[in-house]
Amino acid sequence: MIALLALLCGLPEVMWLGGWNPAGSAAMSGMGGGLFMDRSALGALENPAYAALSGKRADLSGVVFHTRESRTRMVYDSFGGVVGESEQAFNQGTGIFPGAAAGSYGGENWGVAAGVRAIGSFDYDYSRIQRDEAYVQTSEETLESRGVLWELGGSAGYCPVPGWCIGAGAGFVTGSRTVRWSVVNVDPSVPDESWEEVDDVTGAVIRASGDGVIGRLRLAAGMSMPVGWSTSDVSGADTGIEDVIEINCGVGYLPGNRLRSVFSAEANWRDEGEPGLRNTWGFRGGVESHLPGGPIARFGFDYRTSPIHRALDTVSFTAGMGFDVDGWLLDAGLRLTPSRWRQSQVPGLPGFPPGDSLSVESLASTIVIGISREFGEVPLWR
Amino acid sequence: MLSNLFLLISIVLARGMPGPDLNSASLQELEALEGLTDVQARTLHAYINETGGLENVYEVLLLPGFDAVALDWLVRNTVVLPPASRRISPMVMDIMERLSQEDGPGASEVEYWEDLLVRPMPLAVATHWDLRGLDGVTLMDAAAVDARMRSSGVPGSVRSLRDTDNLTYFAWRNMRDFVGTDSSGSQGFGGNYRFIFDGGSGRDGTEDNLEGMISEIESALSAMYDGSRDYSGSPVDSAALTSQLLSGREALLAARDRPGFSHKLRFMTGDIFQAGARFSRDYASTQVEGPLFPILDGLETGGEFQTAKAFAEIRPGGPFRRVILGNYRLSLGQGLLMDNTDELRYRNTQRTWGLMPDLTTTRQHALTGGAAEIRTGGAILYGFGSWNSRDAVMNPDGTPNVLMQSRFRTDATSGKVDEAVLGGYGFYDLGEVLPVGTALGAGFMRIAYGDSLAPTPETLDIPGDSYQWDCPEYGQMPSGDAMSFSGLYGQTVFERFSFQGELALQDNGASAGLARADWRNDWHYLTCIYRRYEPGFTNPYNRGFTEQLRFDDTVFESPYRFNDPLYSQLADLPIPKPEEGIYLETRYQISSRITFTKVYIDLWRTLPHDLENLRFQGEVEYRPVWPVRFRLKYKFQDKYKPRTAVSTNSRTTEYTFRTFILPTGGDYVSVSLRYGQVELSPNPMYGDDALMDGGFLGLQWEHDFNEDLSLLGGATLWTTSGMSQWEFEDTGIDFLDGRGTKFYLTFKNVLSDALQLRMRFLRKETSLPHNGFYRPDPDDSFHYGGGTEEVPGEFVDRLVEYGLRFQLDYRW
Repeated sequence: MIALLALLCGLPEVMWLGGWNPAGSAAMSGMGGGLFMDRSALGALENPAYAALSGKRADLSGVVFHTRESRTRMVYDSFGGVVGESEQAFNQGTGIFPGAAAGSYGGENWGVAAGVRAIGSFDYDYSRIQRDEAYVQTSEETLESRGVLWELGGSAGYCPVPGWCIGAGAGFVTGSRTVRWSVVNVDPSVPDESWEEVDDVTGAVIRASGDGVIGRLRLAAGMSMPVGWSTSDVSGADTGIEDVIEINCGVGYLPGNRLRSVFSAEANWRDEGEPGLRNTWGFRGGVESHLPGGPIARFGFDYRTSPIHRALDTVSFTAGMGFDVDGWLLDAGLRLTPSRWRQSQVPGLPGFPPGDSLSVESLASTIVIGISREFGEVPLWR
Repeated sequence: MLSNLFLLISIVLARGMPGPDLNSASLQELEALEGLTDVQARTLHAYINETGGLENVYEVLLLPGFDAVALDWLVRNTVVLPPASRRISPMVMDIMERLSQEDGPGASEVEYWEDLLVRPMPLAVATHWDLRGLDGVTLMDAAAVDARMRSSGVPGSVRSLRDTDNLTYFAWRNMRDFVGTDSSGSQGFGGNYRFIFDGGSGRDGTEDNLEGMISEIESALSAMYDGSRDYSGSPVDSAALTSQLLSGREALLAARDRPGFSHKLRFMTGDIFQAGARFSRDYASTQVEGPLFPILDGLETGGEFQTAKAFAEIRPGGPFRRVILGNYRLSLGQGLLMDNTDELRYRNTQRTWGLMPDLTTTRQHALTGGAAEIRTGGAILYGFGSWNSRDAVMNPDGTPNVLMQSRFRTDATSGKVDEAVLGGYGFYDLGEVLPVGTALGAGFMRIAYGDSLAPTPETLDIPGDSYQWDCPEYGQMPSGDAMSFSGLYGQTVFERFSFQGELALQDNGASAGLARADWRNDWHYLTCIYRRYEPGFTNPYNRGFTEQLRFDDTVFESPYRFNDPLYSQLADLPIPKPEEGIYLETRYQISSRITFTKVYIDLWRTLPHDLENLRFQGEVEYRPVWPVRFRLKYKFQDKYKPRTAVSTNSRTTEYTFRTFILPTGGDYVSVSLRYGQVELSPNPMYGDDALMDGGFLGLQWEHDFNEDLSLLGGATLWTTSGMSQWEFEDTGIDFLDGRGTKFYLTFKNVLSDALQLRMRFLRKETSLPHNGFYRPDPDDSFHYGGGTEEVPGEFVDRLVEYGLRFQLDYRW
């Protein structure tokens, strides 16, 4: 769905979203960025069964992101041999972004959670100075995209049998996106060009999930379904977006060692539904260990396929640290998402002539910082 | 062993004490304890579950809600049996990292050793034939252990092997992790599964990488389109070649950023039966339709798997030591007759020995069929048969030109020739009458192809270009539909000396021979190897000691010389160059502080061109105090490369300074500084540049948080002026060109003996400046692709690569 929004602007979603994933907790962002196996109040918004496991708790997270992007073109000699790749444009940007806030409350075998979180960002900047053969600037092309997709949600979970929990939840999604594109020519006799589009997005999501513990293994599965998603532009025209079901499953493993390690992995699959889009899946996993002296170290990786083209599939490396300061849990997670794709692999984008050798290299770096507080006893089956 | 003993004593003692063992008590049992509240019981149970168990009862004071009263009650009423310690997983990681060492073992050796870590070789059935394949164990060491066991029986412990006559300390230390004294065998069901996600190594920016090959194909296509190639009078059909180039280009384009993965599963029931399978593909591999198991027709994989292998092994007992169906690895003698791997490491002085299952990435030389090892009396017999399809360059008339091992496989070359291999190798152990380790052997192998091989240069060479085809290494590649080989082998050991030799003969009269002598003690060793491989000896399974691959320094290193640039991948064919040479290697520990770690000299002659070459390398280590070591390495190579008129010469000199420091118990720091230069025969075509140089500065730091968790980080800065550099990283070798920087991080986390994780992230940035772009002639100008009107100016090509690799190992 997000990918469809990206396509509307004619840009691959890997550029469109900046590659970061702020909707989860800072702790899980260091373990591959999984949302589904996150047993916190924030995680309960994605996996409602965990509302019964998160106890009395509050989570708050924020995001700092930095994106570097380089666009290059192949240079050929007169024999058609590749000499190298010459950089045509270089963009980078840094921003601070609100991530999520959530709280949970519950008893021995039940719980509820509620919160708000950013589930997508449309921030992207691009500029390129065009020059003639004498290296004199002729024009500057800029593209600016802004916007956030928010979800306000709640979940409830119940454990009918010790170690086995189920849950259900729902969320209301809203956000907007503004895109401005312009070409300003140095020669006043050549008219400038510009274009702007503003879109609003609204919809809802419903979720259900289950979780169980077998020995040292934790297994979870669930599904989510968008309901009534639509976009509207400045003219007020509404466009419906097909509702698709996403299926999630995950596994956690508590090996029992002196580092008190926890391994967590999850996978998701989604039928994109729209013609021309690929069904997508993703896998992410990671591990956390308590270091001697108290801090927690985490690392993981995340692989996600793109609905547009395989070239836009992403692999992310994540690492993080956690600290317990007088009962306050402070976490930080770093996520590095390198990406490289070629225009020829994603045909149909505006602004690029067919056969252009343009390639785009980017590195999206995201730091998710979070603070959490638990109140009272930790639920037994967490 | 000691930990098990301690555990046993603890259990015995515990039986005389009141109360339950806290580490094994259930939650209900803890809640039932009078001295604990329900909250304390839950906290304690959760802690034990998370940590694997209390080391001692006093540890409870670390838990919230526990005080001296609770501790006192627990001390008087319960016991704590410490959890069992682990040993396997960290050693598997250590073995895996041996891959990155200069002149280190190959992947197949590492896999074999990993298996032995999990299932150690029982000493009761081990002979020098088995022990010599272990890491760092020579024939002399293996024979020393064998001789001791023949005279004194199997020792009670591996530790007691230490005082074996003529066994070096180094070999004993390496051997002890791979062998065991438990001869009762494993009775249960066990196995392991390894998953690897390969998001690129970050080491792909070399000239023969994917992008380089795409560029070469596009140049070839451009030449086909603009008519600068003339195929009139050539057997090559230009339209068919254009189609082949287009198809190859499409395959390579689709391989861009294609992630790699590997699933490898093995399971075993006792010591009688084991089976396994592997499905994998490399990062950026091409997608080629191919049979899932080459022995079975009609079962297609859709090209998702680059390697699909399976095996079943049974050890029935009696004379049949093992029988393997499916994929197997066979490495015998000095590898002149049979060693079926896709890799040939330069100057490899240690090889595995024997028959074993094969789940490595070897594809082109994988043997698929059946093999058996029979031992009866003093005789050891290996029989093998394999039926496979092999990749080959095809002639325009549909006959196979030459067998080819390629990194980028395409439909034009993959699976084109059926191959049947039948053979046997027998050895007779003379250790009962002569010194233990003495044996003679003889073998025979016949290789038959489904179609007759016909090496024809016209298929490969661009007609009418400036290059005059002259490649005797290619000219004597096999022709016909079959070839056969016979081999003779001998070895003996006398105290601290060992001698080995193998002679292989091909049915065309060509031969290959290798003789080797070793002497060693705890401080010093000497190795001398003589080899001679005649140009007509073309056994595809020859993996003998060598300084060069067969097609090194030939036209096959220049993809632009071929009708299809992908044919140049023949340069990777892992068989030795026809050469004759003598190699001397030594290590000498002068004192506890000064050691010549490895010094060798190789004098060899490439037979097709009669060119004399020399390579010398010496490294000395100075250790002023135990945690600090300095190493200085010097390398010199004087090598000739054949040319049409006069051979060119290159003289390489290289200096490497390294230091290793262990500042604290859990840290390891190393710094490397290298400078090298190559002096070349001047060539007016390339500006008479006679000197190229380059170097790098590398820093590596590893911190062990404890024995189960470590973080390894490294950074390298380099600058080169024509002379690219090789650097040995944590699990591989990197190629450094231009100027650049890189850093990498590796996490290693052993969660339990059952589960371990390893993840690696790398960023590498290479800068290659390009200038001198002014071209007054528009037809000779540089240009962008895609018809853009802009004209390129001087620029710096910045190549940024990322590597990400995740590995999970699970055992049961």
